[in-house]
Amino acid sequence: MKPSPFNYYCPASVDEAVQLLSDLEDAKILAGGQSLIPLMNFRLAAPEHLIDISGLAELSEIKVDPDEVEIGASVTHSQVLQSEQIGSELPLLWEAEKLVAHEVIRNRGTLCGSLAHADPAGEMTAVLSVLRGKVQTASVSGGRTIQAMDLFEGPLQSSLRDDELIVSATFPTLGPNAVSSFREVARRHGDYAVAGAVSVVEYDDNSLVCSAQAAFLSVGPVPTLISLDDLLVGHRIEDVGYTEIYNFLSSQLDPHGDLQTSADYRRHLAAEMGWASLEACT
Amino acid sequence: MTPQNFGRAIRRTEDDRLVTGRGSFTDDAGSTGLSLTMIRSPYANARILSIDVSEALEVEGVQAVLTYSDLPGRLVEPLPLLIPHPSLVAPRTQYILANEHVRYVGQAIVAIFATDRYVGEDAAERVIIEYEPGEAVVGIDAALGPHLVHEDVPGNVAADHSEHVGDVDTALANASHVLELELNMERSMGSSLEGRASHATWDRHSRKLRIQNATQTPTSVRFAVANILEIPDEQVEVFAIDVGGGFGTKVIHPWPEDILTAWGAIEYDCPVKFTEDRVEHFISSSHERAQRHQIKVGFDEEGRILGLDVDFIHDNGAYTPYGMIAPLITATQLPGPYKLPNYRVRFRSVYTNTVQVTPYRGAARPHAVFSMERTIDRIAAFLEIDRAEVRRRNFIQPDEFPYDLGMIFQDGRPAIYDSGNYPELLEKVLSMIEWDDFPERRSQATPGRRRGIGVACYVEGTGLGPYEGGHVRVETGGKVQVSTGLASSGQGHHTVFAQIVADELGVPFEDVEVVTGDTRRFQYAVGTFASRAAVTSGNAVAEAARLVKEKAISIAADALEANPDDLEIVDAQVQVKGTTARGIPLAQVAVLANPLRYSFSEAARAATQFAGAGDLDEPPVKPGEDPGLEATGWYSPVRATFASGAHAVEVEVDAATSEVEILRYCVVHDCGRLINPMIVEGQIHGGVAQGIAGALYEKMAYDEDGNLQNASFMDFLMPYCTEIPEVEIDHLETLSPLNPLGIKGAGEAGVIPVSAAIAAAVEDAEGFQINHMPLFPSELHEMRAIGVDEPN
Repeated sequence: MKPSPFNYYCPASVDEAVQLLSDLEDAKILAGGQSLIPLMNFRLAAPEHLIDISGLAELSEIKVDPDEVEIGASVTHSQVLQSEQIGSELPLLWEAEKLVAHEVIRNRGTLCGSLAHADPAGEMTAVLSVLRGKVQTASVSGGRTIQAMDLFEGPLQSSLRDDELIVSATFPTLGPNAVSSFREVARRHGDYAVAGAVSVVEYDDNSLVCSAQAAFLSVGPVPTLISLDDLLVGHRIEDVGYTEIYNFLSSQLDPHGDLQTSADYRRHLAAEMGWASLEACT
Repeated sequence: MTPQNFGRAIRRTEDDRLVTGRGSFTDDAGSTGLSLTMIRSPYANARILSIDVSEALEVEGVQAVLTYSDLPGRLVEPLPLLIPHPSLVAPRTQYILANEHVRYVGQAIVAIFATDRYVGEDAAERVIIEYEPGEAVVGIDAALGPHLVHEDVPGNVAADHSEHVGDVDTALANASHVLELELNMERSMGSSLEGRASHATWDRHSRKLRIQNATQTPTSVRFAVANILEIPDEQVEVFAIDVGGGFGTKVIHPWPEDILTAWGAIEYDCPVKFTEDRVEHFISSSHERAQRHQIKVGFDEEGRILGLDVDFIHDNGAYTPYGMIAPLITATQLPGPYKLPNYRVRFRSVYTNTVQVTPYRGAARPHAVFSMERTIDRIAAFLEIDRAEVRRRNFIQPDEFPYDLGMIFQDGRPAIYDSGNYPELLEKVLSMIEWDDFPERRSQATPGRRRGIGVACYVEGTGLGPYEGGHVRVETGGKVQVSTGLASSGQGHHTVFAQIVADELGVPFEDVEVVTGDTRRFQYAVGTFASRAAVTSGNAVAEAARLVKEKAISIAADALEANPDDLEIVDAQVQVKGTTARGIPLAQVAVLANPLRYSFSEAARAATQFAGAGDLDEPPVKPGEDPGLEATGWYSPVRATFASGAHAVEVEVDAATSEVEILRYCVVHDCGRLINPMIVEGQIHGGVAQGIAGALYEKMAYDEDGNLQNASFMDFLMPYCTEIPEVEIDHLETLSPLNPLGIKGAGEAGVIPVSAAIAAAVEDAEGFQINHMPLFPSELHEMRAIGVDEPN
């Protein structure tokens, strides 16, 4: 469990980082290293070059506006949880961050690293999806914005090009009539969820649902986004009720089984978590 | 003697060092020299066609790359069969490096000596091995099938063993009721924090091979290494300074890497280190637990068991280095605290293409208890009698000790329970968990959840022989040095042995310093396993301390011109009983005990006032006496001492997620006289945690090709502390009549009945039978849908 030899680079700026990324064959960005380093130790990944962006001041910013929260690529999960502004403007992000692994991992792991890693079991991928957020990238040929729905292509596969670096992620905040909730079940405290759901529900002036979206983690190759608008718009969640919502979600989900979990149980659990997160939005 | 320390919850003296990072584990020893990296088989069953190491030899920093054909001398032999047994008709042990054949994923094939582990792993990638894979035998069903693990072992049967008491067939034929059960337990493993490790240094000047080894049995590692390398024992020193958990895996020895590091240190004349990584611990150490039991029980209308017939299959993996100890323990410990006038047990131990199976904390008792306790619960359900009541009706009673099971225990001696009080254990735990009020609590379950309660009892043979020894020496500075040969891997030996010696000798606890597991200090020992250290080494150091006390009093009597019978040792001073006025500090007695030509300290000068001229016709050290205030004591038990306990657990099962939440976990434990209640309770906490792990979280997920799919802590769900509830503990102290201290072992107890108790509680909550462990939410979800536990 020791990595293959690699070259380590510590660029002084984003410009330098993307130049290295462009010049070097087989290079990887290193931020918190909480996913990449274990993969390297198992020799499941053996990049020739690591470009460490964790020390770049220009990527360390958290910007909180009334409409959106923008988080730089070297910001750790713990730093997100230390931002009182995020706690008050986008409490969903706090709720989700508390479910990310354990404190020692959150101390090093970065939010943008989670997104770049594109793990469908990750909480951050689900939150970005349900909020329809986006990431900003940089490369020698210029930066671009990638919408959440275009970012995740498969398990551990994103639409980032090899010469491209995420510089920040942007999460829209919720309006005054929107409510959100995150529910997941893990076998052990802090583990990847067996299944989980994050819901965002908007209400009209009569407290009837005018939009309901849920993103599911651990149930497919990418975060699974399900709209419940047809089922819930114009109604109250509690009036539609458990059975109808559970059955609807079950019919929409097609998860896989694994060592611990049958596909059937995971579908059930995801639908239960979907219901639980929606119920918490009432 | 009034105990000052024995029985007190003294804080562990080891902890300050261990929790502040000042422990001395094997991997902490030296970083110079060479590192050993092993290449392990990716196939569960394959013939090795060729191995090409040429490219690996070109990697900078590689000293040597060895295969089986490169091994010298006795290194070509299979590793020893540590414990033969007549029923083990086809024992097989592995070679240090695979000889033509590999029989499990993880078996060592190539050894690389390189400057460090990074280089070693780089070189490993450049070794080309050609295999001819065969059919893998994985799991009990496959073992009973047509494919063989060892071509010359028909039916894959390593051992076929039967024992019985009474006449089971007649008892079953005459019983009012007969029930049959099939029960399964999955594989798990000890998962010590520190894996296996060895660091060997060859001092060519003094011709000493010094080995720091993460072992539970350093003395035996020493003899094994000397034997295989064909060098004198005197040239080999083995010590286990700190060992980060053992749980049985580190009883097994010598491992291939123990021999290769030792051999390499001499061959390359530099230190050689091997530190196992986590993947290796999963795929190349030891597993345990997998058994399938077929049970037939006959009983009367009152629920009294008339006959019990158990036939089980034990999956021993690819090799049997530790003989049949695990299934033999299952067979003899299955009766537990119950009277079984007619009991027959047969087991077949079968080979599979998986990691070898050797005892893991609890040592095949969790399976035994699972079988017995599930059987009792089934009888209770059949007769609609309270589960506790059926237990009461079958208990061995307190006035029936010593109680002879009529069987042979794992130490080859009769299984005779020395003492115990099982009815009281049960009543205590029932009252702790408020068993009788449970129906009311069941109706108060959290909405959407089902609540259940379960209880399980067990008896554990502990403290078995053949022997341990202890050495106690009073230094002229006043410190008391204690050593014993068995090693410590977290048990708290340094504290409890000091408590024992301090009281026996009459010195402050703080003055006693204990060293364990160092052959330079104590050459003869057996090892730390089978919950035996406190009983065997504890009684041995007590005996050594008594001998030292006797000697000190005799010397002081001469110096004080007093009758030895009038003297006592209080607070490290030998004095006339009841008075502190006339006395000599023990440190000065130590000086007197060693007639000196040279005075080198204040203590020596002070002692000379007592020395006098003596009898000039006698030699200064009289015949039959030794210089020095020291003694060696031994304790060799006639047979094992039997600890016991009862666990009760209350659970809720979540209707939506099928997760099992433990609401309360209660333990009543009887290990005889408690040396240190805090340490015993710590042992129970850890044991219960491992029990919960085996009941609800852990299993070895092999695929049909014999690949262990969850060889990491990400996929092998060893619970975190967040998954373990508060454990409530009470004690019973039924002294053992077999040893002077009246103690029994406590190391493994906590883990033993947990699966049985949790299965009972979940069964009670759900209303369908639980016949296997572990129990995962996903399975429980499916069982709820169909309402039964299908045998798997």
